[in-house]
Amino acid sequence: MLRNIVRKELILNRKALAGAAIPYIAWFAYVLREPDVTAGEYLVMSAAMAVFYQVALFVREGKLKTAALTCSLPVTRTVVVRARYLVACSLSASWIGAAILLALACPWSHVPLARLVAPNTLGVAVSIVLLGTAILFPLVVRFGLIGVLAFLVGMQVLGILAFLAVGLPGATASVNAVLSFVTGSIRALHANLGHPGFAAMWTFVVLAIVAGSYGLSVCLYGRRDL
Amino acid sequence: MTSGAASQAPGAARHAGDADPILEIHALRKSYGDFTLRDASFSVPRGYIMGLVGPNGAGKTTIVKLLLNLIRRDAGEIRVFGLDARQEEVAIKARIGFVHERPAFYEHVTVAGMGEVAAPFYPDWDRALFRRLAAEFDLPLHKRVGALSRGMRTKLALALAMAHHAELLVLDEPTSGLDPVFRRELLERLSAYIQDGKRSVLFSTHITSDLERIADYVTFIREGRVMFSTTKDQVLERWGIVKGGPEMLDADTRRFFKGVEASTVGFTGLTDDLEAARRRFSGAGVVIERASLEDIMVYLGKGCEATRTCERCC
Repeated sequence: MLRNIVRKELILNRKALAGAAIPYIAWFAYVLREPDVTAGEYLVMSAAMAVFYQVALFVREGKLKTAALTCSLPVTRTVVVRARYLVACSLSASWIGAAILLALACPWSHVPLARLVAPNTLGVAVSIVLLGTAILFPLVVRFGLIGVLAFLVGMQVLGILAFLAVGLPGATASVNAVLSFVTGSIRALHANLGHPGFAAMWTFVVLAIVAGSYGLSVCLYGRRDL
Repeated sequence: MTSGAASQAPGAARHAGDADPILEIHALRKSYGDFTLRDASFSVPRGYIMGLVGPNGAGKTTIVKLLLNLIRRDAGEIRVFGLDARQEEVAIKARIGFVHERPAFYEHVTVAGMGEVAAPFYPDWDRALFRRLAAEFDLPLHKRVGALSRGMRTKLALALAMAHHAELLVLDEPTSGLDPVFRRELLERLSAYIQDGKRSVLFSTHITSDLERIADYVTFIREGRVMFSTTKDQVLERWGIVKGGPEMLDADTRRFFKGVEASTVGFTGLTDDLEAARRRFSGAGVVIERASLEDIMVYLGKGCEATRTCERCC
């Protein structure tokens, strides 16, 4: 049944996937022209876009009101959620692969392939995809498009608050400290993923978060009245 | 009575559930903010058409959704094909054909594409039957679902529901978006569908004329309560309408009725005991006639708030 649901998602969303891929590819082709963009930055951006790419796919169910159609099929809601995580992760992996191929194919690309496929760079990208999926999917499953919009608005509000806080006496340092912490964490993650022990521990942590997110999504989708 | 039911020699005293039940609902309860389905119980025997009838907002769609686990029940039990609807959800749904009151599909997919999507989920999917149904319903296989009218979408939902030889068809207001010609054709099709005596139809509607044409059993719901669930013949034999002058309508007379509408020129009362009405009002200058399902839907409970007879009829 899992295979059937995955197949259903891909068939019913293939035009939306193709339609969304074109502007994404165009934008990344443009990004590759920028000489200041590093391999890590390029792949992290790809990963972040990949998360929203697959999330955008599943919010369509709410828009088209097809959840009742899906759930009236002979399949449990748990399998529906499992299929969506599987499709999301597969699409993200495909998307990162496409981003690497694009960097290889574009003659104007400044990003060296060797750095793009370095294990630690790929590890950061995969981590962003998995953690992004883990955060956003319960919101998508429970609230659909509204959940994603609420998340984005929340992030915007945080950004505005940070922007306003910079103007306050004494707050600039705090905001900068937060930003430095985020960028420093990603850099530290990038550097440390080269160590097998850390990589194994980090993999365990990320998978545990994804498993928690999956469990929460199953619970939320199972409780949803359609 | 439809021929499917007639082939099994139904009698006037037959009750829903006497025969091998394909669907059993017991003490089903569901509360929303402003609506409560209260301890709904009824069953659908194998080989018959059960009409689920009631005004808008009565709870028909709630029951259908509970049956398919589209919403969660607060209490009660649902057994389909003898299996628990929650524990054996997948096995049950593989044998059910469902038509939603407003069928929603992915707009860009073609009619044939929807068939391809649904096919792998059903072990008994019959590709040839789906194509035949599409042709009979005038559904162009290569037309996008987004370009279909509401009635055509309902036809697509019906084709999808019937193409896997479902043992139980669950239809939620399927005729409301259909033209009269196809509506008549659908009713005939449903009668034919149960001819083998192995399949049943649960047909939710507020269009009572549809049920009078094809239903074997009727379950009447009002404000979240199952008022009665019995054979259509029994309803039409026992329920009646009494029309009389305003001077006859005293408190005692009001209490006799399940619902009453009064005006300055007279009253119309609904009774569930036509014989008792004939005995009580014989020679009193009243008109007594059989009630249609529409009469029951219109008059049941009417005026009872004023006469404080709600404990009898509501």
